[in-house]
Amino acid sequence: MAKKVLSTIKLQIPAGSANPSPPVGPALGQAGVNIMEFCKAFNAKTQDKQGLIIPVVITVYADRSFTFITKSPPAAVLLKKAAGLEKGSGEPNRDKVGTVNREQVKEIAEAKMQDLNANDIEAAMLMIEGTARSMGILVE
Amino acid sequence: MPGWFEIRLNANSETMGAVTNFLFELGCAGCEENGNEIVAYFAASLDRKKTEFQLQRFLADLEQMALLVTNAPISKEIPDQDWNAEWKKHFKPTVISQRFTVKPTWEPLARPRTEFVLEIDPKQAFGTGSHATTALMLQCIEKVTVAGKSVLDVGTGTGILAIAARMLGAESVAAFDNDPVAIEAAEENVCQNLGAEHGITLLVAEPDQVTLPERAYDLVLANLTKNVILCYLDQFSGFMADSARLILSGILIEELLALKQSLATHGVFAIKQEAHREEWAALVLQKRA
Repeated sequence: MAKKVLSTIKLQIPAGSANPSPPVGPALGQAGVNIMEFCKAFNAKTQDKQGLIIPVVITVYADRSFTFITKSPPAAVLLKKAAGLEKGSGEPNRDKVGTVNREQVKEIAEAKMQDLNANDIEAAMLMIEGTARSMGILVE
Repeated sequence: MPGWFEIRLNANSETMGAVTNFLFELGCAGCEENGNEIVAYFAASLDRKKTEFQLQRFLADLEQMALLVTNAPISKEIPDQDWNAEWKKHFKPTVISQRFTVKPTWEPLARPRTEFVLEIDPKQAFGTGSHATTALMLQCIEKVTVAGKSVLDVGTGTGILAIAARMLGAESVAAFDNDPVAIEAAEENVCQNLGAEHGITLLVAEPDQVTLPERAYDLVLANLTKNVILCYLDQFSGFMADSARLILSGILIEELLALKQSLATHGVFAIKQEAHREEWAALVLQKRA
């Protein structure tokens, strides 16, 4: 019989260096999960992606056990890479910091399709374009 | 006392990614998403007012672009605390290997079913015995000769393996960790299990900077991760006497082949035993004479 799911927790944390501090501590602690066990497993699974922010979805069961899946880097990170940027804009309306083309937006939408709540590739592309605009990145 | 501040705000599907990205660019240590709400955590050492100002300016720009209408972000201080407190309520005595039971310091255990009982309060450190890698380490330690030997525990966490080695009759034990919080927990656990005359040297240090009380150890224990293990193979070898044993864990079974290939290339260690549990593996190595 499938185990009863208690809660689902979505975090974004740096690869390979999870520790009991926030956000891991408060998010998993209140769910009754052994925080250090999660850190050990997460760090082992993401040790080759040091320096990247990794979205992770943790499923906590009624017996306090857990499973987790890590996702590809966030769309914003892929957009910065595509535009050759280290940072997005702190004032996205006034300060445009880079440009991506529609083909790059499509590639990112395809890469992130599974993680986006979109019905088709066009809807996913609209979301990625929204993220780009919100970062001060123009879409040509 | 070092602490944190959190910032809570709402975003929509169009702006969630950009807002989260900006929070990380402001120095956020990590964030949680609850539907449209983002909770971002920052170390208290960061300038909170400046962070809030920059965030407000960013959100105002998004509003001007008609991308986001949100309530003002809510910011508050979060003191450091024992985040494991809720989990500890469910931490019960467990038999983890042939000779060892682990039990929380606060739980009674009337009739132990094993020769040794390890009493552990993990606080914020790794090594409660309930993780497969700790159990694998203990399982391997039981299969090598420990009595009368000198033992070194690298990345000791709660001190559980160092305590076990001493219980099994190790002549001397040294243990270190790069996390002072772990060494603080280890000190308490060592005294709880072995009394004030525990004979274990505990140090806060990195493997490439540690100054150890002995020149060469008979047994080295390292429950780390594959990349950390590979990074410090030369140091491990330097800690060891000829023909000494090295027990490794924290290795995912999926990365075992790559680790074995690296060990073969390194050439200093021969693999003597291998053990698996769940998705994890442990290796017992011997330093070539």
